[in-house]
Amino acid sequence: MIKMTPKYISLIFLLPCILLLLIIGIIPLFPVIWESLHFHIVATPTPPIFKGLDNFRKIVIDPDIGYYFGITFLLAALVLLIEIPLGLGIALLLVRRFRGREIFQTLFALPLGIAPIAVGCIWVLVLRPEVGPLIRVLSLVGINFNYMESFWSAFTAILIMNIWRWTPFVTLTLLPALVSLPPDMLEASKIDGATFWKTLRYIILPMIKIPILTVTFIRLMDTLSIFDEVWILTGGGPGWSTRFISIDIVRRVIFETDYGFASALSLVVLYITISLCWLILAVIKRGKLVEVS
Amino acid sequence: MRKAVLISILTFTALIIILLFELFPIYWAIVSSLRTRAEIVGMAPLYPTSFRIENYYDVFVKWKYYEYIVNSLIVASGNTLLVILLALPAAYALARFRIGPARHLSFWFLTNRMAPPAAFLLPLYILFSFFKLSGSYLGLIIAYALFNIPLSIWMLMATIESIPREIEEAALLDGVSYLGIFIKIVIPLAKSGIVATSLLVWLFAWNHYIFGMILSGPGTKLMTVALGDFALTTVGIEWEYVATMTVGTIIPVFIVLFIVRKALVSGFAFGKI
Repeated sequence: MIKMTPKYISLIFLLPCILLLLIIGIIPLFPVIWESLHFHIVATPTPPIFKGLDNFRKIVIDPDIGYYFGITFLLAALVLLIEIPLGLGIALLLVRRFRGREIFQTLFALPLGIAPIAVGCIWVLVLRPEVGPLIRVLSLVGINFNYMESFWSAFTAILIMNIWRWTPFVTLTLLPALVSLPPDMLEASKIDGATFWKTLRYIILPMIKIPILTVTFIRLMDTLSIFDEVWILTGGGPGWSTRFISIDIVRRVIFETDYGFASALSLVVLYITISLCWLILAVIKRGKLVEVS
Repeated sequence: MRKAVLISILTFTALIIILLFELFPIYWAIVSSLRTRAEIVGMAPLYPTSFRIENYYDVFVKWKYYEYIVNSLIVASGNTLLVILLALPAAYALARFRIGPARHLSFWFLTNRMAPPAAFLLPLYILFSFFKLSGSYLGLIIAYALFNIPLSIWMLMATIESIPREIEEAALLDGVSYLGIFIKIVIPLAKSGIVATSLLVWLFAWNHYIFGMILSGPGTKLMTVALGDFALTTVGIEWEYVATMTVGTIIPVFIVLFIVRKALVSGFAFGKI
């Protein structure tokens, strides 16, 4: 019998996951690479024509694709800048024990359970031009807001919807780290006369750096692939101004059946996202090293 | 002392405002779902005005929306089971013995979660058409593992790392096998983490839309796909039904969240990569 060394054990334990992710995560990329080298629109009877790297050349020179990437990154940047501080702030309010905290937390987390597709529906109901409650409240103070009027109004609506749906997630991810901070350390800084901001800046933030970076990372991945709620709320409009990169891919696959170009674009998006995340992970790991030494 | 009272009042006010912001849209969906067509089209007041339970009858009984919910339940629960069964041993191996190339595996696992699902739309469609899996429950259950396995490995690693190693080392000295340690010691101690992870995995599967758009067939149409199809084709007319369907998709989630509210109160923890 083979001796069950940790090496064998870990291999056996990891094997099922490795096999499954190979089958659904790596193997299907090969036909996509093949498609990306061809001109192939499924809805037309012409067979695929080999075009080399032509699709990738088109991606690079197409200003529209650059625009889709641009607004996707803009949204991601704003989402991170708003949701992380806001979520952290709410988590700080929840650290202290008070009556009703559990009820608050359960109610506060409800939006987290709503399907993004339903989130889109809910926000259409809230923002429907002229009759939506939020629109009516805004018009009381003299603001006429129609989210389908311009790019910026649609973009603002998408941003608010995103903040509504995801801030509870940030809070719930940072909360365990905040609760596990040693209370005597916070007490000591209080006795030393440190203000709240100083305690936050020099004691709390450095100690929860890793959870903050982790949640930033998760929010970045998810915002870069934003699709469902925007698909319902604006459908990529008005015009094509809120066509985030995922919306563009889905349109090309499902409506234009332009498999060649869509494949190339999928690969580009895949590798841009992965490299970006890899970069951030490298930063997180660097942070970990500093902490250890 | 006065300062402390002031802070308490400010905190309380802030929490109330936040809660109002988070709950109002849900309240509005529920109110809208019980309204008549005339009220939906017109300027009905912000408080509940009618109680048209027929909307629910139409959607759930007449249009058989419950079938889509059952499909979603099968896929989400099947996926959670598959994902936890596969990810738990993997997370244990990664958390406890990081030997050789296994160290780089966790990053590769995670790349599958980083990728926008839209980028995998075409790859999975081609793969599943080849294996004749598109339109089946099994296809969807497997497809969702793509983003849920990395997520759960990541979360479960944090849980397992927080268990003191000494217990396992003592058991090893007593001659318990690795498998025995894993089943008899690690799994019971990691229970709360497993529950929190299952919750998130189930939620992500239940809420997922993109893969369902292209991989679910007529018999396996998911609730998110049905809702999306309806909302996109009814532009501005039957909004009371959109609201009804939306509330219908939310209620099962709220029931689940209520059952596992303990996991919500303790929050989510993610491990190192």
